[in-house]
Amino acid sequence: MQNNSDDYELVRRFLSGDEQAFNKLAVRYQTRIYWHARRMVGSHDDADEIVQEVLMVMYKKLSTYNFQSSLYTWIYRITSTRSLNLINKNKLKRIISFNSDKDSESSFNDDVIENFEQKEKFNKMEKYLQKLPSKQREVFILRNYDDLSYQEISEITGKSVGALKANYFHAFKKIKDHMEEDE
Amino acid sequence: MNKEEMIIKYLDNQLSAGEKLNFERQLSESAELQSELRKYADIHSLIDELKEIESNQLYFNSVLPRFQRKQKAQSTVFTFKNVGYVFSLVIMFIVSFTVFNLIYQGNESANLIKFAESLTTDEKIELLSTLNGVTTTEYLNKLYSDFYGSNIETGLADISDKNQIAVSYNLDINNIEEIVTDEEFENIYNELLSKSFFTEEKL
Repeated sequence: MQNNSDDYELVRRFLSGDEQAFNKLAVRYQTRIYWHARRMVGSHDDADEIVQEVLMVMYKKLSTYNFQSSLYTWIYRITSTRSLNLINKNKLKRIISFNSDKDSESSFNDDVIENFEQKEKFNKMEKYLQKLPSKQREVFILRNYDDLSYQEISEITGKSVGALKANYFHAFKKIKDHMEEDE
Repeated sequence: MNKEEMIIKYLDNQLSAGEKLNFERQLSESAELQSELRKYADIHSLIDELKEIESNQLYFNSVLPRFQRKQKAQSTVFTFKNVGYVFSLVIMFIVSFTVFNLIYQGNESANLIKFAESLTTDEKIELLSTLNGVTTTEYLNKLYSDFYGSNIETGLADISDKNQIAVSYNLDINNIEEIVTDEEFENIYNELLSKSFFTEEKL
């Protein structure tokens, strides 16, 4: 799926001072970062914030990247961590401000999704995803949307493959149950 | 393995070849299992549809320029912060130095007063003798000669001589009115009045 050697070359060039190499990496990964974050946090504004944060982390921390794992795994790890942090932060905000989940649900009226039909389906699915516990949501998204193997997800989340499969099963079942309830 | 677990694993390609064959055999025999599988497969299809989203490229084109602006702003803030830190450190150093000096000097004055109070008159004279590299005698000599136009040593010798004279004549200056008559007093008084001890320029 990803061209590792090309990624490595761009990282090396960036570390030698070539800013253009970083720009190429940013453009290459920004869409995946955005959609992963968007599915995790369920809001365009939060996802946009995460994209900017992840790019900043990449810019500052690429020197610590050890070339042992794929670059996209490394980027997904940063994105996932940032997304989970934001979810927890928002949860805390809700508790402090005594708002219900409903009040703080994101507005789906952003213009990122252009196709109206796709937008409706996306919003429906996003609603189900947001009902999942964040860890189950993470596995479900990485496995189904980002097409990553359990081994890769394990590298990103630091969980065992067995635990991930269990999380995936529960997530899938819950989404099916929520969909049935709505019908 | 229950029915739902089998379905999810089947769709997720996690069944072994044997398990897959067994599941497909059960599937062909059970309408209920087929219906259940369809529900999960529909979710899978929906997700597949949503993997590639027709998105607004204007937004994605804006991501990098915004990041670059933010990054530039951060490095400017970082530079200003550093300059600010250095400036603050210099100011803090100057202020601390001044405050320390004031406190230290204040203590020093207090200590000096305390020290001076603890000295006897002789010790004070001894201490003064070392001031400015000029001995007390030299200092007093200068003052005396500036004032009277003569050396203090000579003056002191005169006084000493007069004292000796007084002693030799067994005169006690405190009981002088018992020794001197009224007439003699009158004469001494008149003599003192006529004597000009201090000239104007000496004053």
